[in-house]
This record gives sequence, C-alpha cells and structure tokens, in this order.
Amino acid sequence: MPESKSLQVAVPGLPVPDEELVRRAQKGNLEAFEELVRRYERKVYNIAYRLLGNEDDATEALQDTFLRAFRFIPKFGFKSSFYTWLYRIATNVSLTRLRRRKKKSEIVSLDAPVPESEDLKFDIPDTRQTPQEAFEQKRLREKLDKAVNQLPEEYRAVVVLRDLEGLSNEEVARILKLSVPAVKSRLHRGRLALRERLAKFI
Amino acid sequence: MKGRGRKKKSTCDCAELKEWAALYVEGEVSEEIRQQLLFHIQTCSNCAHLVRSLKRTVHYCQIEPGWDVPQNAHERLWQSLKKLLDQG
Repeated sequence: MPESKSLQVAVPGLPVPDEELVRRAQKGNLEAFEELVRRYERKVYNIAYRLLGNEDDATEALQDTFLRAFRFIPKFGFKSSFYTWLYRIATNVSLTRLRRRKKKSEIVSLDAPVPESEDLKFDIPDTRQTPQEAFEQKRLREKLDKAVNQLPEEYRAVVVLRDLEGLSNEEVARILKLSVPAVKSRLHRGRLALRERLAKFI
Repeated sequence: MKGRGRKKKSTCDCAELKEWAALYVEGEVSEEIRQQLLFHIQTCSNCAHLVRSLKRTVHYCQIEPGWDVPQNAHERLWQSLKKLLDQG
C-alpha cells in the first residue's frame, strides 16, 4: 500500500514492501506477483468501476489491468511507485474501454435500452453497521457513483483518482500525464459539478 | 491572480468566489483572497451554501470506502491469472 513505499527492505513482522515484491516478481517469483494482486485488486476494481460505471466493464478492466501488469512488470523501472504505475494501467485500460463503448453507443444509441439507474446489483452487508445504516450507505454510494458517471470524462478521471482514491495532485498528474495546474483546474470543475448533483443528498 | 497590481479589494463577487472555492476548500488560497472570500460568504447566503456543500461533497468522497470486489470478478481475475502463470 502507499504507506509502505518508504520501506526499502523486508523487515521481519512487517509486510514486504511493494518494491521488494516487484523485484521478486521480475525474477519470476509468481507468489510475489500474486501478493501484489491481492494488495491492489480492490483499488483497481474501484478505479475501473467508477470510471466505467458498471460491474461487467469493471470486471473486464480489472482482468486486463493485471494481465498487462504481469506482461510489463519486467520493464518496470522503479521511476515511480508501483501503485502509481499500476493505477496508470488501470486508468488507461478503463478510459480506452469507455471511449470504445461511447463510439459503439453513438452508432446504436437510438435503439439502446435506457440503463436502470437504481439497479441494485450489489449486496455486500457490512457487519459493523445496522441494516438501516448499511442500506443508507449503499444508497448514497450509488448516488455518488451515478453522479461521478455523469461527469465529463476529463473531470471524472481526476475526481476518481484524487478524491475517491486519495492520490496526491502530483500522482494524478503523473498517471494522467497532465501538469499539476491542469489537475487542479479539472478537479475544481469536477468538484463543482459533483456538488451540484450531490448537495441535496449529503 | 485576479487584481494583481491593483488596489486591494475587501471582498469578491459570486463569480470570483466560485472560481476560488475549490482552492479555498483545500486551504490553498493566499491570506488576502481568503479574507475576501470570508467577507463575501458572510454577506451572501448562496455562496455560503455553495462553500459548505462543496466541503461536504469533497469530504464525503474522501471518506467513501468504495465497493468490495464482487465474487465473480475476483474469481474471473484469479482464473485468468492462474492460466497465465501456469503457462509460465
């Protein structure tokens, strides 16, 4: 995870740092790669889901991301943290899929069914909450996902990476190959647009 | 920065507030701009509401834990990886 990036060597009792796992994976240690997948599977899924807005596409993007990461990990040069590199793959895979989908829907949009906005696809109870709290949280999360999904693409990626996934402006700039001022500007517009859609719910 | 080189203003208008709101929420504006925004917010309920709800929106996004990976997505990922890893 990001917190462990300052550790450079494996310390007994502490999780092995990402960099060490990457080095092992580069030497063909498959268990090391599996551990990286376990660490970042959830984050990558959430980036994909929030950029793409549906479970099927996010599932495909999740697979694509890790298959690509496996293929290209021998070339990883430690110029950035592993997770920044991985999130860049996840973002690129998701945005490519989004653009392809847009192109396709432009062709068939007249007959395409209207998506069910209140589709309750997830049922993952959180045992720390009462059923009522869990229901409310899920409802709000769906509102958030819908609002994020309605953002223009150039704002969406910045809001997802910066606010929802907690990366810094500099990390988002590296992932999206933008300048930091451009990230800040898009974030500003994205947040204002999101506020307009969410203000009455939160 | 707007107004650079001109006489200092004591407040800003609604359009300027909207322009500066995100940086203000991040605590990234200069003291001079912050004072102008604060002065404006005290006299404009619409902008006060905008800043409050913007703060709430950003905060909610930042604490939102996200979804767990659905079981079928998890299984498909590991099946594909296993296939790939078995190939060496």
